[in-house]
Amino acid sequence: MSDETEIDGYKYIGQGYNVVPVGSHKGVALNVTQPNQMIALMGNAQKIKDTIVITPGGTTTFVAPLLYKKPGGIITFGGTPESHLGIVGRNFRVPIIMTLKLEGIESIPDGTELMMVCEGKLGRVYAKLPA
Amino acid sequence: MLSESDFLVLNAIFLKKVVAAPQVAEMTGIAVEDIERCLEAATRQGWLMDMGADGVMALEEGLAQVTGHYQTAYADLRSNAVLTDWYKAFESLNHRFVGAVTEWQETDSERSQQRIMQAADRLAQDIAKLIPFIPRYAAYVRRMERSMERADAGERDYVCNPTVDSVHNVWFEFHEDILHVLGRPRDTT
Repeated sequence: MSDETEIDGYKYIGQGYNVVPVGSHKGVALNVTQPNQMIALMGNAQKIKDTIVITPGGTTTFVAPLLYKKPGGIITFGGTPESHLGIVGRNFRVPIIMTLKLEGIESIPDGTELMMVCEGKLGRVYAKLPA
Repeated sequence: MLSESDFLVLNAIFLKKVVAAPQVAEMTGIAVEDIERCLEAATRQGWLMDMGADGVMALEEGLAQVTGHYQTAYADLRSNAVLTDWYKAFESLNHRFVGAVTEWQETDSERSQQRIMQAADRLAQDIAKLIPFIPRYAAYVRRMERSMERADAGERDYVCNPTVDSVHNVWFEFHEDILHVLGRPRDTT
């Protein structure tokens, strides 16, 4: 597993449980906490593919519809791969990192360019942050 | 409050998230033409969004209609000790089930598939005990038995593929359903 602190201009920001080994994937962060945000995203198929959805819980309730549309990735701050979300995500082979522990930042702002490295048991997240 | 048949259709969408009429028919046993009429009316009312070939998805007002129906229809059951005790036992079974499915996805072992089927068989028997309280739960027993038969016959998609009525899908939807009946939030499993 890669443990670099910087890859191609993306800086390491934290790690969490990796659900499925799908390698490295890039996308743009979007925090989703309410159903209406999810509904708005579902209406834009291209945006879904480019988006890494960041959601506080580790349940499927909010993010399940998106899994069918193959989002760029999903990051949660709770839950484990041994869960319904983990099981469904593994089937769709969507990059998912659960229970992300951020290091050096408190949150991931919308629009942040992210790279998820989904290899092994722990997945790592990298971001292009303003200097 | 919604009519029983409108609730069954809208609840199927609520649980499945994005779904087309034939899948709702498979879940509920209601005729496709009746489902399509319900979906058209609900879409006109702004409760659903048409997702093209994928079917429909519930919008905020549609979600509110379904959760409101759960609150009203099952208010008396939420403090019923038979159901709350039932749910406590289910939590442990659910933990074993998701562990077995995860293991099956990672190892593809016969032993893990046996554990999945044992848990699914147990859940089908346990759900049957709730039918006197919630008659529509008979549909979960029927679906679970059908999915188990197909998985046992070698149709691997019926173990946990989300795009068919797999054992895991039926389990997951039932779990979401009983949580709303009891008015409980979902934990992280």
